[in-house]
Amino acid sequence: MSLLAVRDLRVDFPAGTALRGLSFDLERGERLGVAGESGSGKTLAALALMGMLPEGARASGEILFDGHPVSSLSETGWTALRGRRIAMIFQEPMSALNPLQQIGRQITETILWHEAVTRAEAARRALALMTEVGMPDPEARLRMYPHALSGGQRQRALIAMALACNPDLLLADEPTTALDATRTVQVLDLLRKLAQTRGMALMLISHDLAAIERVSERVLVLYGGDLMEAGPAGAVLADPAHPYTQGLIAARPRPRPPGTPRRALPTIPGTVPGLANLPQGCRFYGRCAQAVPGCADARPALRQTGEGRVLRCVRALG
Amino acid sequence: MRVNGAIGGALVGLVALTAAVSVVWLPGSTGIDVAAKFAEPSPANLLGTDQLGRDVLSLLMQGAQASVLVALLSVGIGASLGTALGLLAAARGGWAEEGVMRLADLAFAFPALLFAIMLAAVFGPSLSNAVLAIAFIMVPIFARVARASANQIWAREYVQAAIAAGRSRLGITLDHILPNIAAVLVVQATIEFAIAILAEAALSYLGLGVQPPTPSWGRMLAEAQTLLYLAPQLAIWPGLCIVVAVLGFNLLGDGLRDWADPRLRGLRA
Amino acid sequence: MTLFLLRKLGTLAATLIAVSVIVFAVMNVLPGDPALVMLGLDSTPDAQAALREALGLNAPVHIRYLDWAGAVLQGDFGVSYSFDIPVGDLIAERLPMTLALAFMATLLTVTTALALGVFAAARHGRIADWGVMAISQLGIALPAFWLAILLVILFAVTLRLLPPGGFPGWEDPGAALTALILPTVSLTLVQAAILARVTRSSVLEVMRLDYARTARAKGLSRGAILRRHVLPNALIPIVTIIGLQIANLVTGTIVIENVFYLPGLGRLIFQSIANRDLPTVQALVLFFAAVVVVANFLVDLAYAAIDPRLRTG
Repeated sequence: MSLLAVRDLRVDFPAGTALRGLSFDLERGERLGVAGESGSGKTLAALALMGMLPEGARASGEILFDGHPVSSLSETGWTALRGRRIAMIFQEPMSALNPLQQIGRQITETILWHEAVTRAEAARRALALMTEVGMPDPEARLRMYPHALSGGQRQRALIAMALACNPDLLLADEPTTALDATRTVQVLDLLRKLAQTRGMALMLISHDLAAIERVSERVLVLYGGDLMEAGPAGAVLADPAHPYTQGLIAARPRPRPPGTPRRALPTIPGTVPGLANLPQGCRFYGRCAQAVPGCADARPALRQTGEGRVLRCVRALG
Repeated sequence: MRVNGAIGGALVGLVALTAAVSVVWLPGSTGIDVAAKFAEPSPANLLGTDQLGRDVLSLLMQGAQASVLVALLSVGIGASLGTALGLLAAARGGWAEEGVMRLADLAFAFPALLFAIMLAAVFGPSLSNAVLAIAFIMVPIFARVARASANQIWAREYVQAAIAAGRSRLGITLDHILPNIAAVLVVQATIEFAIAILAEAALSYLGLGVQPPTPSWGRMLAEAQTLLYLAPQLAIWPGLCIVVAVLGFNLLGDGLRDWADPRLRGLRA
Repeated sequence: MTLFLLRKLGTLAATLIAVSVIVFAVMNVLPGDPALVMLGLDSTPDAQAALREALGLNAPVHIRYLDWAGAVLQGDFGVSYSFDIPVGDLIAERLPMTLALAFMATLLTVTTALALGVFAAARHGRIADWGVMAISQLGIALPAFWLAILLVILFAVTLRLLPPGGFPGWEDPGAALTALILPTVSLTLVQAAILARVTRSSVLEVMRLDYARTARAKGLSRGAILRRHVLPNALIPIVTIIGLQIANLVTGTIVIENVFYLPGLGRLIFQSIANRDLPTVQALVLFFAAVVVVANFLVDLAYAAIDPRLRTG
């Protein structure tokens, strides 16, 4: 039985459909990447897994976590899962930490909330977590306030908080946007290592395919609230089938070999339309260079194209 | 929000109109006629008469004069002095700015009532002392608002360009700064009007403001308080007038602020 | 932290000195001749000269200020002209009443405002929220002394449940507290209305912030998120308003004591004005202004207690 099974997850807002029936499975210890631009619905999918969809969102479909349906849970039911079995880290480590509390207290809070342990035991575990996430001088940092930490240290502290109760699944939503290139690589490697050593499933949400390639075994590519392509990360990135995935890969910044002329970064033409203006057929219609008139009319079916690979496109051969 | 502003505007208009009309026309007699005291409401005296037989509605209308007059004078003095200080602070910067701001901090230690008490003890209670005391607390408020908004304008590119072109600070202040912060000042003044009306009522109630025989809402309340067991209704009307005037200026101020600063729309309560 | 405290103490001392200079200047320099003010224009020149001598008015102004300030520092506020006893004794005698009133009103204001504000924020956009906001908009426009009169009409004149005014003394604490119910409520409601609005918007703002979402992602219940993360952060603007309201509460007690004929410092000030008792008025104004200044100093310390970012430097 999979750790997580998402079946036809749909999220509607008054303005339109933000997630158009998403289905996927996640095994224990598996590292999954979810790729897409902002507005693709990737963050919304993660929030749905936390039971934290924004006000005004209507969700349907089914989410099975460890075999139990969780989509119909009450807020109280969710509190038993959040932070204990499913944890999440967000993009802005500065604003995600409470400025008035010491780091240590923010870590032990999760432990003390979910588990019947003494303060001393919780403090001991907090120190172990800080060491595990590679925090320099962890003992002193436990007593510091967020404003005294650097950006990379804050993100490590947030990861330590998320790991506090040994969750089965960690959702990481763009965890490196606020960091420079060196810190980004460090945090990504840390996330991969933590998932491997702990046997914890990891869902990395990112617009950055390089980050996903570095961390994930499998990748889902989302656009306009629809799953466009999925498969083993290496295979999909080496040989993208969907025009959107191809565009994403082409638009990816690459180190320029010395001596080669500076080139403009290729981009996918156009921008993601607002919810109300998404095409009714293929969501990518309108920005797709290979589109034919029929693409606008019906949503293409998801079809199997290879070992573990699926594709939602009528044009690409796959 | 827009509805609130319109209601506020209507209430303010009502108060201003009442004050203006009462100068030339009153619905009843405000002369003392003890035989007619405590009359029930009637077509001749819509709200009845008071302990001296005066028409309550007419007194209330005249009371609006005192409120509007004190508010106009005190906000006028406080706003011009405070704005001048704030503009000076923003234009000069350095020790001048520091000095003005420290003075503003200090002035907050003296609520209007304490200042009015000192003036009353030294010069005896009077309307002008009340105006001075209320104006005194307005000065630091306007100084702060003017300085903060002016500093934002000073940082703009076209102002920097004017400095580079060698224009004097006074010239820039008059040409660029003042017109740009006028909307903020008008909004502030509207809200301070409400505060001034409340302060005038309190000072007059305590005997430190408008002196007899000039009618004022605060003083009418003070007189009515001695007659609560005889004629409690006399203590209702003046209070309602104060609430209407204050509520009107508060709502109008909120409405103007939303109108002047669209970014704030809907953010505040 | 020590540096922070020393700097704040320095500001406090400087502000208190400046306040005393202003009070002294308004009361002694502005009128020209205080003796004339106290005795009236129809007094004889001999009597004026005698009073000038008694009040030490013949010395140069800066010497008079230093004498007065030095005496005040030693707890000597001078002698009341009308009561002919030390002003310090007068204050000590009337202080408990005013203190009790101010303390109870502050406590009631803060507790009701926080409760209502948080309640409205938790019910954001629903009828309860709308109701709290409408009532508080009205409350802000109410003069406290008129509210006091309305309460007297309702509870004393009509229902006859509570006394309309006066104070029976502290010998019977039950009766004393009963006499303070209406004054406390009148002082509280208006300030609480303002504070409740600030609390509501502050709580709503913090609830939208990222760390509130983090707390939710930790699995905390709504109540725990509110208590542990939202409220402490929301307190910062709330404390600012409380600081501003202390001035209102101080002057509020002066007004309310006069509405309810309570023998506190506020009544004393008005008796002294009527008696042209300048030394007493001067001492009381200084006392009230100092209370406002010290209260604002305590608010500054409260900021630092709440927010670790302010403790450095």
